[in-house]
Amino acid sequence: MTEVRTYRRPMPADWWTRNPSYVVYMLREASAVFFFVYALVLLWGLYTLTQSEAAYDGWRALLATPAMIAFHAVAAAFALLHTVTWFMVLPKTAPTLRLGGRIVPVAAVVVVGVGASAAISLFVYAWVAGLLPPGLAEAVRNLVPPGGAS
Amino acid sequence: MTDTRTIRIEALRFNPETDSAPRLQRYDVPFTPDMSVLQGLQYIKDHLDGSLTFRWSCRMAVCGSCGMMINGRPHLSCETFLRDLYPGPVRVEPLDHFPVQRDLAIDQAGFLDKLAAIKPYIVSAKDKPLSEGPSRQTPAQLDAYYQYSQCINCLLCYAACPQFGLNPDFIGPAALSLLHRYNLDSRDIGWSVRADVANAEVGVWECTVVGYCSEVCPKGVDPMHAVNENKVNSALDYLGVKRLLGGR
Repeated sequence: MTEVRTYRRPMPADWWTRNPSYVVYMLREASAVFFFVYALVLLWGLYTLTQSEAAYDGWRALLATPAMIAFHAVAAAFALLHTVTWFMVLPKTAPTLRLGGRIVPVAAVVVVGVGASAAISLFVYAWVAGLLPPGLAEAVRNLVPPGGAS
Repeated sequence: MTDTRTIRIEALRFNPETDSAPRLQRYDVPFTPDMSVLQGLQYIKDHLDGSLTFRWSCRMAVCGSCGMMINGRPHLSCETFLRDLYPGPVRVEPLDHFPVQRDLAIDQAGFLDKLAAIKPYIVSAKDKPLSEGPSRQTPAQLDAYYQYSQCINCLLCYAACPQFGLNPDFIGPAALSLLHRYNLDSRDIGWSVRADVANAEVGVWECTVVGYCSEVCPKGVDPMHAVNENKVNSALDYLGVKRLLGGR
C-alpha cells in the first residue's frame, strides 16, 4: 500500500486547559496531592501524641497558624470536589446497577452517593463536636464496648 | 421567506504535497437557518474553493464520516448547525489526536487496525448452518448490549480522549466499546479470544477515567462505562474467575 504522508499535531503540555471537562479531571487528580499532605499532617499529630503532651500541644498550635488554616481550607475544597466528581463517575466505572430488572438511573446513583456521603460526614462531625441530641449520643456511646474507648 | 446571513468559517488546511505544517484559511459563507456546518463546507467546496477536503456520506448522523473539531470540540458536522454558532467565526479542524491526511480528513488506519484486533463479530460456540434459522434472543438479552451496538465509528470519542492523544497505541474508547458489545451478546463466547486486547497495558487499563468520550458520543454509547466495566472483567480474568465461569 502507498505510504500516506500525514501531519501529527503536537499535544502541548497545557492540553488540559482547553476544555472544562479536562480541567475538572486534572483538579480531581491534583486533589491526591492535598490528601497526601493532609495525611502526613495527621500522622505527624499522631506521632507527637506518642511523644509528650508538650509535643502534641505544639502540633495543635501549628494547626492554628494562618498558613495551616489556609492549607486545610484548600484541602477541604479539594475533598469536596473529589467527593462529588467521584460519585459522578461512579455509575460509569461500576457495573450497571439494576433494581427489579430496571437500570438504576445515573442521576439517582450520584444523588444517593453524594447525599449519603454528606449525611455520614455531618453525623461524624456532630458526634466528635458533641452536637448529637442526648438520646442519639447515648445510643452511639452504647455501641462502644465497655473499656474499649476513653 | 429567505433568511440568509453570512458567517465566517475558518478551516484548517494541510496539503501533504506542498505544506510542512497546517494553516487556517477563512471563508465567508452565506447560510440559511437549516444549514449545518457540513453544508457550509459543501458551499465552500462548490462555490469558493474546490480544493477543500473533508469526509461525509449520509448527512444524517448515521454514517459517522463527518466528525471534526468545531470550535475546539468534537462534533458530527452534519448535526451541528451554523445558526447555533452565529455570529461566528466557526473554526473547523480535523479530529484531535489523529494524523492529518489532508485538510479536515484524518488518517483512520490506526483505528481500523484496532477495530480488527477486537474481532468485532460474533464468535459462536459452533458453526450453525443457515438451515437452522436465526439465533433468537430475548428482549433482556438484546438490552444487555444494545446501547454499545449503536457505535458508528465516528471517532469523536478518540478526539475527546487525552490518553489516546498521549499514547496513540491505546486501543481506545470505540474499539473497547465494541469489544464489550460482542462480549455481552448472548450468542457470543469470544471473551477469551478478545481478552489479550482488553487485558493489555494499552487496553482497558490505559483509561484514566477522564470521561469526556461519553459526553461527546453522538449516539449515547457511553464508552467510558464500557471500558471501565471491562476493568472488572479483566481483573476477574487475571484471577482466573472469568474462565472458571465459562470464559464469557
